[in-house]
Amino acid sequence: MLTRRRDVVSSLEHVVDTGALVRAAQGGDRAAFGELYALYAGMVHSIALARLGADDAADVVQEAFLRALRQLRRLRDVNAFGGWLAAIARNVIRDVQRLGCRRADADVEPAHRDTQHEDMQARTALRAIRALPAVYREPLLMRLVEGMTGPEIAHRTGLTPGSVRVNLHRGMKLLRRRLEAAGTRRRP
Amino acid sequence: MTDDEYLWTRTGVPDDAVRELECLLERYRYREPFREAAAPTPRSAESADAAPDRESE
Repeated sequence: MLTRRRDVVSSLEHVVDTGALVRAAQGGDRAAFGELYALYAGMVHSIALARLGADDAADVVQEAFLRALRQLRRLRDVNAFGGWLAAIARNVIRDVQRLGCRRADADVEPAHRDTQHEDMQARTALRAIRALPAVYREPLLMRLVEGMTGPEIAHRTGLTPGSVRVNLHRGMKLLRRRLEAAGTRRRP
Repeated sequence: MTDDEYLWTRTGVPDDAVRELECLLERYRYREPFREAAAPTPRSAESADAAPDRESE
């Protein structure tokens, strides 16, 4: 009960009036669209990074927002912006995968010597997240790569705080187990 | 459920494994600005984009 109440309070703390921003952007307010970009680029990037290399994922963000901008006036439910944008991003990703024009995965390229060991660990961790069930991949990337909190993830994606919390918890548990099994992380 | 407050809110006592992954994976964080030069204004975009994408149908 207490956990549920905490979820509600936490999510309210992070509520941004996305609907108002979307309405303003639909009216041609470029600054409002810029705010939407600042709020949602991390979510879109996580969706892309769960499936593509880092360079392609960055391109997907730009293309998804360009498509969103072109189609924004057709969005009727302004409060459904996050889910609508995520659907656009998944279509862009499908186009990239279908066209087979993916670039060499920059995050598996050799790194600078000074940070080679850490880069290798980072690539291993990213691969391990990508190998998780789909339902865990995106929230974990939003949390661990983009630095979003659970309530922010829930607000952006339109998922309930409860389901995001469960998926973060289970995904992290599974990730921790796999990294320990692979020997990249010591057991506590 | 175990205490996952840090994983959930990034507050409280940091979980070592979560903190370690945050530090490692931060390098992949998206920091690029929107390439506005390529973007039409929302009003002009509607008429310029005659072919709708799948998600808007």
